[in-house]
Amino acid sequence: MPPRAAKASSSSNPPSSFSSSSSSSSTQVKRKRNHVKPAETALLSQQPKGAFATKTAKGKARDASTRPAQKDALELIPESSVEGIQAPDDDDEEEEKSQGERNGGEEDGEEEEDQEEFPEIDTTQSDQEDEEENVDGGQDGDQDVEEEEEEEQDDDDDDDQDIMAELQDEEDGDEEGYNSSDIDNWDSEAEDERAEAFAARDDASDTSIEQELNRMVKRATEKPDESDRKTNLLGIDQRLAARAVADDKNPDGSSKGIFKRSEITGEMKRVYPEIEADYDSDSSTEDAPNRVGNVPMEWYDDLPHIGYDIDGRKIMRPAKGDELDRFLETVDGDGNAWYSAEDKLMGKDTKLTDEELDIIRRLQRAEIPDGEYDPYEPTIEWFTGKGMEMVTPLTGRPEPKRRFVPSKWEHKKIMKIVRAIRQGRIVPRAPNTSKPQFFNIWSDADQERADHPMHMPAPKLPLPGHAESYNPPAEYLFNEEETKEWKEAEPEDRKTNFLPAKYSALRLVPGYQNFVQERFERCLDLYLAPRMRRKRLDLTDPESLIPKLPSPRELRPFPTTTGLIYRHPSEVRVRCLSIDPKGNWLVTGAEDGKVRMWDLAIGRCTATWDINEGIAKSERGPVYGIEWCPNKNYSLFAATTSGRVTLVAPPQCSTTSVTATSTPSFIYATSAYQPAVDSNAAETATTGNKAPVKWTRPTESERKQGVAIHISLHNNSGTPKQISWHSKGDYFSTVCPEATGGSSSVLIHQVTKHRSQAPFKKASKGSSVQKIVFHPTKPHIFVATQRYVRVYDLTAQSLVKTLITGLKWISSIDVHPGGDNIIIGSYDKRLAWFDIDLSNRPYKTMRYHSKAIRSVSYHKSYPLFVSTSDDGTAQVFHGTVYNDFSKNPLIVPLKVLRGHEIRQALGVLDSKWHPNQPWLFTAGADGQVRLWTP
Amino acid sequence: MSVPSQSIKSGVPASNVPVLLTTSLSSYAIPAGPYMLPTDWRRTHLSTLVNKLINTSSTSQDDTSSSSSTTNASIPFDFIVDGQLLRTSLQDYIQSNGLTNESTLNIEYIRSTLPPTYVAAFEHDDWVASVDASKQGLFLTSSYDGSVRIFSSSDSKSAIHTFSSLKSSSANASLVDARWVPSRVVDLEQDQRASHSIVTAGMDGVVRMWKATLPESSQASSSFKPTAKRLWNGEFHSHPVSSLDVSNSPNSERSYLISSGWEGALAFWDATRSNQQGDGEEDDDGDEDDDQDDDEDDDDDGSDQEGGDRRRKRRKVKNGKRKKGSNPSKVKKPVLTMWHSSPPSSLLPSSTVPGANARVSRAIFEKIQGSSQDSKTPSQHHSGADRAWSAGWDGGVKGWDLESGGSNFASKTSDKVILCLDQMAPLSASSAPILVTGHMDRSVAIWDMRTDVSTIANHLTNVHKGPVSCIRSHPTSGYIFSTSSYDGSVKLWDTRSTKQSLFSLVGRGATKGEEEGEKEKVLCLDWSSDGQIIVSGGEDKAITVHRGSGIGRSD
Repeated sequence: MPPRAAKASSSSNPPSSFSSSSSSSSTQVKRKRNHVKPAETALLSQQPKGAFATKTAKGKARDASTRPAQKDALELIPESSVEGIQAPDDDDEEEEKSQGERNGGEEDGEEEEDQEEFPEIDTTQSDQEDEEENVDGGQDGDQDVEEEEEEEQDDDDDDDQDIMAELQDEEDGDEEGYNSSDIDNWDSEAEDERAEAFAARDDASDTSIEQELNRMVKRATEKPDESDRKTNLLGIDQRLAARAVADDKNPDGSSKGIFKRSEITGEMKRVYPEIEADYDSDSSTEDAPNRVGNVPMEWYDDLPHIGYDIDGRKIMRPAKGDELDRFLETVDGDGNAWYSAEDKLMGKDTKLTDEELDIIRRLQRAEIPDGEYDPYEPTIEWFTGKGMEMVTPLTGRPEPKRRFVPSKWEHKKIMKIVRAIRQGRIVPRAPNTSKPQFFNIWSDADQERADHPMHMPAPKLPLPGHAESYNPPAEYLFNEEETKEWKEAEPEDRKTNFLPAKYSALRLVPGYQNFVQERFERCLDLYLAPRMRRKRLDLTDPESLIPKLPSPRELRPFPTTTGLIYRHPSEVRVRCLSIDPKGNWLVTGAEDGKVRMWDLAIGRCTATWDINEGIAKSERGPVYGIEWCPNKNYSLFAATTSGRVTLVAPPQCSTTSVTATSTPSFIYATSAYQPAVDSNAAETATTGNKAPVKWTRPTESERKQGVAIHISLHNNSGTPKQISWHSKGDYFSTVCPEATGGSSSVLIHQVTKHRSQAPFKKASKGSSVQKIVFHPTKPHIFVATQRYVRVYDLTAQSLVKTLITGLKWISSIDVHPGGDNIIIGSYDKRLAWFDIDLSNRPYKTMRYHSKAIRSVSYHKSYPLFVSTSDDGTAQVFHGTVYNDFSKNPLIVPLKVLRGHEIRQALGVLDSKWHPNQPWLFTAGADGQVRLWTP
Repeated sequence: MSVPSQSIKSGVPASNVPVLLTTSLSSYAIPAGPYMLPTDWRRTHLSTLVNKLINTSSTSQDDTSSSSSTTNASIPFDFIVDGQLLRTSLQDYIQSNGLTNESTLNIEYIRSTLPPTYVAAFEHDDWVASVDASKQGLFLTSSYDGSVRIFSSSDSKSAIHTFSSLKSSSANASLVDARWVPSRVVDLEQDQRASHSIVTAGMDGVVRMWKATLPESSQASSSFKPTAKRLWNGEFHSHPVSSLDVSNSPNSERSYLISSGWEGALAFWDATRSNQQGDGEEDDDGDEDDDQDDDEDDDDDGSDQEGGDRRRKRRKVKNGKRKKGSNPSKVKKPVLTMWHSSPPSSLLPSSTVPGANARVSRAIFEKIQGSSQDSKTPSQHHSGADRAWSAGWDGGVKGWDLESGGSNFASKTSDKVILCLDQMAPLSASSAPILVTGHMDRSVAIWDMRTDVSTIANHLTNVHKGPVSCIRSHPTSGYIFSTSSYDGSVKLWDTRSTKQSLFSLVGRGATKGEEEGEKEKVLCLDWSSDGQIIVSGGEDKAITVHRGSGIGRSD
């Protein structure tokens, strides 16, 4: 037989690897499965749920396709259910399968043979099959479905609860509808497997085949004992498996009917048994003879009949008694009237059965109408519970792609979270911020508020103290005086807005009368009072804010205490002072217009000059400025009063000469003098009216006291307020802030030539010149106006620089001996330090005086400077100027010198340093000049 | 130990403290050994105790009546604990110094002196610049009005003699210093009456030598008119003179002067008057050219070894003078000039530009132990002319060897401005000179000028409330000195107890201004030669005399 040969050949083929064959088979199976699907679903719908393992004859086609899967299922399920019996069952099954397959392989070619092999085993079946065969013999193979069904039925009939036979049937039917090649392939593979399995068994024992056959025979001939079996042949639990049905019934319980020849047509037909109406059956239609349907019965009220029966005959209205009869019935009747109801359809009263009454009663009691129903019956776990687990795919659809391809949207969502975590918007495992169960209403912290920048917490009220207590300690209670004082005071002036009172018990405390008022005011405060948020510096170490300055201890020596006091008679205000360049003599200019010279070391006034001599009394003025000539070879000073500058060469400073007019200083100051008329004429001739200055010779008596020369300024040039010498001692300048002539506000006088000139042709715009200082080394001059300091180059006749002080009114200026730094004091209490090379703005502006600064002064050799003020203090500073240009000057406050009294809002008016000692001289409005020493 | 305990308050349980009593006074030595003394004892109790001990020991040693006078009179003692006079009870001292009663107190006792009492004040017309009380019974003062006044201690109303240094009313008339010059130096002329030599120095930089004839104290002042005659002018200083000192060596017939000026120079003068005085050649100090040619004026002063040197110098000086003898003017030039502070580069004698901080505040001759030929005043010291000391505003203290031509042999500096200087009276002939200086910053320093002493000075800070204007050591005691200050106070100090002053003298004007800084400055100060009278003067235009008893007595 060619198919056999083919099969043999295929089987004789060297078996390919198990995995490859199985995989190839599985792909085929898949294809087939798709192919058979409609039938499968149809079958499934017919089968009882969960009983798919029970193979009916109908499932032949399907079984073939589902076989491998089924096999898996079969192998899987028993493991958990019954283990002891499983192994032999498995073996059996395998055997059967292999047999079936072998049979199937043959079947393809010849069905007849297939059928013939088994009748020997199952005689009863063979009869029918034969019969079938006969019946179907003439029919064409194209009526597959029909044939199958018939076969199925045959099988069912013949099965005789032998599932093995069924399986064989199934396997028989498997091959139908498939390409032979497919089957070949499949078969061959399966064959191989089985051959292998069998070979393996062969290896195990030689007698196995014999035993196997015996068992098969035994099983086919003997009725299996089902009594103690809990699993069916397939190893499926019988509770799960479809129940064995009677021969004349389908597995779903419906009757198969009898296939017999019709008496009428003579055709074969299936005759079903009469249906006995059961409780389950729907009997509603059967009972009602009236077949009018569900129409209102009022329609038949006027008619003698009440409807029609199934045959169309009228159903006559039954006789019905009247009301009296009915009443009598209820009274005299057998009592059924109480238990009857009108059947509208039939138009008569029907006695309710006990069951119906029971239902009514139950309905009345709102119980479940069915008395049989036990709502509490124990649950039978059919499909769940221990041992009932089933792993079955709900659907055979292939895994969708989305199952194994990462989701883009999930990825996006996750990345969003990841980004949020990275940015800190989401804190993973953040502490659970659960609301507290109880709120601490006495806590200091206010209620948490939304954290937004504009939120400003309300100012807190002070907590109540002991005085607020209802039972305060005695010391908090007011005595009579205090009570009186409290009562008399205005409410705004009271320290507390209540009177502390003592009560022995809290319940005795009366109501607080101001409560509402206070609440109201508090609300107003919160509501109306503007609040400001202050940025608080978060400082761990406040010391770090303080600049690192050396301790004043390390910067000694500097003046600290009063060493000497130079008292002026009648406490006349001392306006100015100056110390001679050798440091021996002090001259002071006082309000009374007198210049006094003091022995600096012992504080004795050695000489007095009245520089107003020769001036009319009304025009006399105080000594505005005084300054020693810085040339150490001469002892000469210049003092100014109203309209006049006087040069004095004190004879006390000279030892060699006998007379005051023969001292070298005097000669130096007067050597260039020419007769008055001539000099005056020459003056006007050469300089015109620019410098309205007259150098005049003092009187003889003055000359004897050492007064060398007077320099008279014309009236319009105002009062020279300040004198500043050039460092060489030849030139000095005077400043007249109130000069009306404009150009003559600044004058430069030359001692050796007795000449004066006005260096600035035009008056400074707006503000008058306040002070002038010469640069110590360069030919520069610093001109301080009210707000600015201008640096002029005298040789180049040009403006070098303008310093913007930022001060409102400059009062004083001094130049560091190095020439690169200046300090400027102002009437608006500030002191500005300029590093000229650095900037035209102040390096540092300090405000520490409480009143206007009157004078500032650098020490010539020590790194000290001082500022004096109308607040009566002189403040000493350390100010180091480094040669290194990259280093800023170091300014350290050292000492506040107090001692001068304030008279008429004037404090310390002038200050000068000793030229070579760390001694400070201050001139006060209290008529004292003080020497401050370390 | 029989201690008078009646003065101790009974009832107060007084604990005892071990005390070791020592003294440098050999005549008052007591048995050594710690005494357990009650802690509530004060100075008086201790003094009584020491007196008792002295008495018992002296009587036990010898019963001769030599020390009868000392036994009879109880001597007051002062007690110094740890450089501090005991002014409180022992208990207080122990507590304030954090000691316990177990620690032994080392107490040195010295003779106590009663505070000097105010005696008199002598009025002046102007501020008193200097006072010299070295002559018995006479006070020589110079004043800023240019006058020299001589007061007798007996007459406080007016001066015996007043003369002005300058005839013309020059503005520079102020006198800074006036000193007695030992009278024998000036050759006494025909007038054997009390004639005194006075040297003055003024703000004009001139040192002037005067001869003043004063009436004897017994004479009636009306009948005798005192005179003053200027002998010579010493012109060297270009700036005011700050101080003047006179050597008074008893062995020398000659006397020498040293003056200091504001410009930083020291000038060494020969006070001897000679008829022929030259005005040039003051720089003959280092020359060795002309010597031994002239012995006419030399007296024999060969008792000391350096006499030869000195003689030679004097000869030199005389030679110089003689050369210029043609000039009859009474102008004298100094023998030696020294620059205390570094002189200006152009070293001209008339240079008017001194260096910074140039001023020499004071220059003194070194005090040496007097030769003990005179047994009556064994502790009298004199100022020799061999060495000098100077101190100035630059804070330096320098020693000058005048014998070797004015070389600077010692120098120490401080950062203070020194206003005054004096040398403590030497304790012994061989003891090193100890200097005391007063400063502008209210402090006083004690200098040990030995070169091998590393410590610069022992500073006593804030001894006054104002700058220390003048400092004078006691003429006999090597421990006591006095200071005056601009705060108007005069204080006595003991170098052994420097933490506080012995006494603070309240002057006449103390009640005038109680306020700080209101007091009138004291500018000058001097001891009488016996060391019992303190004279001070200053801004109050007067000199105030205080007399003490037993000040600096060592026996």
